[in-house]
Amino acid sequence: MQFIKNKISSYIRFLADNQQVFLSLLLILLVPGILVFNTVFVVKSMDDNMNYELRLKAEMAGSIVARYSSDLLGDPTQLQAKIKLTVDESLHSSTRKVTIMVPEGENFQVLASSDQSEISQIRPQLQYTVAWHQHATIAQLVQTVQNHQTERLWQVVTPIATPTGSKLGLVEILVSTADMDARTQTVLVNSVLVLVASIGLVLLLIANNARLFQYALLFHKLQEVDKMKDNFISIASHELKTPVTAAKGFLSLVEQEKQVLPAEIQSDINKANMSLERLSDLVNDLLNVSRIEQKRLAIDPVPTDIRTVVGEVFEDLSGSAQKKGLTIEYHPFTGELPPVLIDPAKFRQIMVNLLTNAIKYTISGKVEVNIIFEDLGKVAVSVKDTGIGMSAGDMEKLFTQFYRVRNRKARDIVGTGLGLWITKQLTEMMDGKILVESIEDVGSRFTVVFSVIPTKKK
Amino acid sequence: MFNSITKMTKKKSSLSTLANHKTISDARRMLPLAELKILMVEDDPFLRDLYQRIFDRASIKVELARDGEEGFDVVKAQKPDLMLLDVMLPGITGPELLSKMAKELEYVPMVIMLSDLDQIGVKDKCINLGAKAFISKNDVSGPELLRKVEEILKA
Ligand SMILES: Nc1ncnc2c1ncn2[C@@H]1O[C@H](COP(=O)(O)OP(=O)(O)OP(=O)(O)O)[C@@H](O)[C@H]1O
Ligand SMILES: [Mg+2]
Repeated sequence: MQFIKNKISSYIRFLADNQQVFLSLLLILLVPGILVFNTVFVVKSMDDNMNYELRLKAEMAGSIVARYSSDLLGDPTQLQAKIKLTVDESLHSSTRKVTIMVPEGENFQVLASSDQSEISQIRPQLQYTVAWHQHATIAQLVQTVQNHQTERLWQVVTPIATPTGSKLGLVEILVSTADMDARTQTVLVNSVLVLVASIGLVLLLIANNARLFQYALLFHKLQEVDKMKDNFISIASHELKTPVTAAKGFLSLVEQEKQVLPAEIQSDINKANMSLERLSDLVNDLLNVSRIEQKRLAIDPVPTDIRTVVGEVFEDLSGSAQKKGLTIEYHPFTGELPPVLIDPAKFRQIMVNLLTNAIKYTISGKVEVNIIFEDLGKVAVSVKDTGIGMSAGDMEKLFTQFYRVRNRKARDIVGTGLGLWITKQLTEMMDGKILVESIEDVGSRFTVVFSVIPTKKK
Repeated sequence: MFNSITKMTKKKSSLSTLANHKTISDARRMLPLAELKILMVEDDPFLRDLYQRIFDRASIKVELARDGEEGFDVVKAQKPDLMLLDVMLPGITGPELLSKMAKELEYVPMVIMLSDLDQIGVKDKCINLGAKAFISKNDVSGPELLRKVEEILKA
């Protein structure tokens, strides 16, 4: 019992979570439902109409017979002949019987009838009395059973009266609905055939589109998996950060030890430090990617003189360029430079990424950082190198996640391919633009452009 | 009279800063770190060990707490001058501890948050709840931590 309950509630939850499926199921039930309802309704109302028509006809026939019978009540033989003639020649074949009756005490006696054997019979039916006393035509559906076959009949009873209104007798007409029923039956059969065909068609269409449901479900699942991936990266990199921080901290304790370490140990420690730095960069990059993708990265824009930040980054990194034997130059704009509204820490990250790349991917020659301000409301920082450069095809994919140029020159240079993606995202989050120009084996130039805060002069 | 005032400050908003509480005096702030009572709340045992070593090496005493509850008890019992508080803690988190102290204690130390988070809102939330500053754990993992703390303290 509990099991069934759980099952049902899990289905309901599934439907609530997958509204497309729920809607589709509703349609599957609704469309055939409407078709069935429509068929039943149309057939039923057609039947009602035909029935009503038949009854009107019977009543009309009744009043005509009543009219001419009033003159012939005194001559039953002629009346009988006329009735026979009327039934045989004037009335429709579905007319089963026409009877003329006159009152006989409480009851009525048959004076003439299309069925001759009934003449003189006494009839005690209630309708006769009602029609007689109310002086009105009474119609009702009756059923007869003959040779095990039921037949529905309209029984119409009409009073016969003199032109002055005094009652003389009754006319009874029985009209069979068999004809009409047969026709309704044909219509019904046809409608059911059409109904079955259209439901079949609808189901066929739906079955054919079952793939759509699968896609809908798949899409839903994919979204969930994507979220899971994001969460996983986010949690994993968080968990990775703490031990990296601890390791870096302990190593820096060793480095600040007063006593001088043997050169070999010092060099091992340096390598451990560099590896940790790489690991820490990687974890930070992953964390950045997941935060940017989840739109949870905080940007704190403040008016900043970008020369300060660029200068600091240049100072930090020029050492590693010189160690590689590269010339490295910084040409800041020397005039008055309005501040830029950016997050200095994020801008610093952009510059570090661009400058490390320039140093990393230049084997010999020069790395040059320029700040250009031509007073058009924009300031450009460019990082130019004489490095390995890249092809036009590489340039197109440069800013995608994990993209790295694969050729012999870039082979031994370590990296993850996240740096430029993050750089581009950060730049755009701060309303900047990033441009790249590069020629293979000649060099590259990366430029970021930001709007300066407009100065109120004039 | 006094009662009604505390009630009013409580009602003001959950963001009520620690300005309404007693905290480290300006005179004490200018003292060298070694003469202050410092509490550090950090759940990771290795980081706790690291910080202990950093402080030891500089001959500065530091009280260590493993989680928010423990930190709260130490603040209540010992009224430290300065608290270094991790954001992500098991049980009550850093920001939760900030508001708990603001609500339940008369004396609240100066708080510097330690975090490797850079999430929208977290920093602002902590500052609103009364934290003085933020230090990113992976920017300052070694002895530079002390310099940074001193810098914030004297500012
Ligand atoms: N200045 C440059 N000169 C030549 N190639 C470059 C330069 N900058 C980037 N590239 C190419 O673009 C690729 C992507 O750079 P990106 O900074 O995104 O990743 P990475 O440097 O490989 O790794 P990391 O994520 O560690 O920065 C690099 O692998 C390199 O092939
Ligand atoms: Mg890179």
